[in-house]
Amino acid sequence: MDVVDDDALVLVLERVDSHVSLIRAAAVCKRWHSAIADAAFLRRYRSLHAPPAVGYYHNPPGLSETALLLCPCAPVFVPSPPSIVDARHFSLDFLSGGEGSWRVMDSRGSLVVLTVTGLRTAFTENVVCEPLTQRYRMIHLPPDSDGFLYLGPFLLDGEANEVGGGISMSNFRLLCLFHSNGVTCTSIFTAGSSWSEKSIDPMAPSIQHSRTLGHASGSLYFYVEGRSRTLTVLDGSNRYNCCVTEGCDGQPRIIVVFDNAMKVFARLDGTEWALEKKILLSEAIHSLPGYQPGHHHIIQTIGQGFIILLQGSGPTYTFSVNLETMEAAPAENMGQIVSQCKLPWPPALHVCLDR
Amino acid sequence: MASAGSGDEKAAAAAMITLISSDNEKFEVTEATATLSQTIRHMIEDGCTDGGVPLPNVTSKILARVIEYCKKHATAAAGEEGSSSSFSDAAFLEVDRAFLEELEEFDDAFLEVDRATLFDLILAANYLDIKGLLNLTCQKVADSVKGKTPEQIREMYNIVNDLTPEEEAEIRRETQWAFE
Repeated sequence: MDVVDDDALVLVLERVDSHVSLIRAAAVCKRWHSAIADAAFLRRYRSLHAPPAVGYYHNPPGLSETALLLCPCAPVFVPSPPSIVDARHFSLDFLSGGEGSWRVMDSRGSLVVLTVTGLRTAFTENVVCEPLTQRYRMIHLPPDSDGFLYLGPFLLDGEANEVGGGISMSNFRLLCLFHSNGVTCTSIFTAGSSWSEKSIDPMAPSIQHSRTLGHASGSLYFYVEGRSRTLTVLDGSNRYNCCVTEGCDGQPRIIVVFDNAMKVFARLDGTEWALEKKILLSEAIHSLPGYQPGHHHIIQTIGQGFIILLQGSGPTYTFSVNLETMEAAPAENMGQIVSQCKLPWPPALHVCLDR
Repeated sequence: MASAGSGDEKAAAAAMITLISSDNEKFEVTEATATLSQTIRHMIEDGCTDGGVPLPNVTSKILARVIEYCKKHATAAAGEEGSSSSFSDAAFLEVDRAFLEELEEFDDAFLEVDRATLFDLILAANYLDIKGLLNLTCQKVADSVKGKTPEQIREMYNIVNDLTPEEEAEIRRETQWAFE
């Protein structure tokens, strides 16, 4: 390998199609480490190989919102195949001391935001953590939020940096949504800084009279009865059985389920929503094990790149549909919120070596 | 492509270029084969290929292999240009597909070389700026690294571990999850 010059070494390393293998390669020798730790290399590698998803966090299913508040519980981690990193590295045990109710609220990149509610007090705290490196940070709600109804936190990217990373424990933003007396407002916490407030335009549909459909690509989507013509046109039928999430490509999708049909809409040309895919659910699931015939389907879980549906009439049956392939598979009830967790970027390569 | 230019291209394709390896062996190749190398293409454009193209960084053994690759892929490129002109029926696509499969088989067989030859091919492909060959050979090495521990990688490529035990421990500590 000594005969291969640095240019060619970089050409080889940027083709290593696995983040874990790249990190291991950085421990081979000084030359390989400095080639990989180089900012220009990392930026290019990131543009070629997006950090893979390692799994999902979800709250214990079957518990009502009240029950989630009242009993000590912790999120569940479900690894995504293929297993890239041992699932025990994604345990959240380092956070909870057994006290309080921990609920996952949102995720972005390798970070997860949870809220912890004390069992005896109605005290709510946000915790932003990176499970893989067991780093976390408590973020108290802004001091002037008393009297507002707290609707929840959303993780947003921080500043784009020179190695192609957008979010890490030292570089993230947390948007918190509040509501009071017909006014909806947001506060954004920036890592390394503090809170900044911004009220949502009062002309925007009031969140009080709308239903959250989900969020994708940094936008939160609402359905406002009587105002949202677009959805009525797309759907024309059952206005409650729709949601918004990200497809496997990270772009937003609207999913509409009506009786036996499931439709996926995308902004294919970047502006207008258009029908992207459509399946008949009975055809997609009739060969799955344990299948029971039925026609009424409810969206139960909104994931990134998939949704989980509950077939509701008669004996219930849950199954997931992949938004890329539109293939169905038997699924467990994962509750409403599932948060995808990815490997961190950039990898920690801070060791200074003598050369 | 089936325009007035094709006659000129045919004439150009028939033109021969002489490549001279570091050990002074001469190789006659068609211009279509030689111009898979961007380096040689630029030399031809600049009109400095009379009397042969000296390649002091490439041995005759490696140059022969590189030419073998370029000949095969130049034929493929010519085939693609032909097919995209007027034929697009299913039968022609079938022929295309068979040809691409054959090309893949050729590439797989081409990569069945020892490590030293593989590295020499990477260096030659980089120097001659032959995109396809560079990608093929670098990907082969990159794939061999996948799923291996640092020790296995060092052993595979005879790499001396010049990290102190402290440094190596520190690197592993930072990203412990990737090593278990």
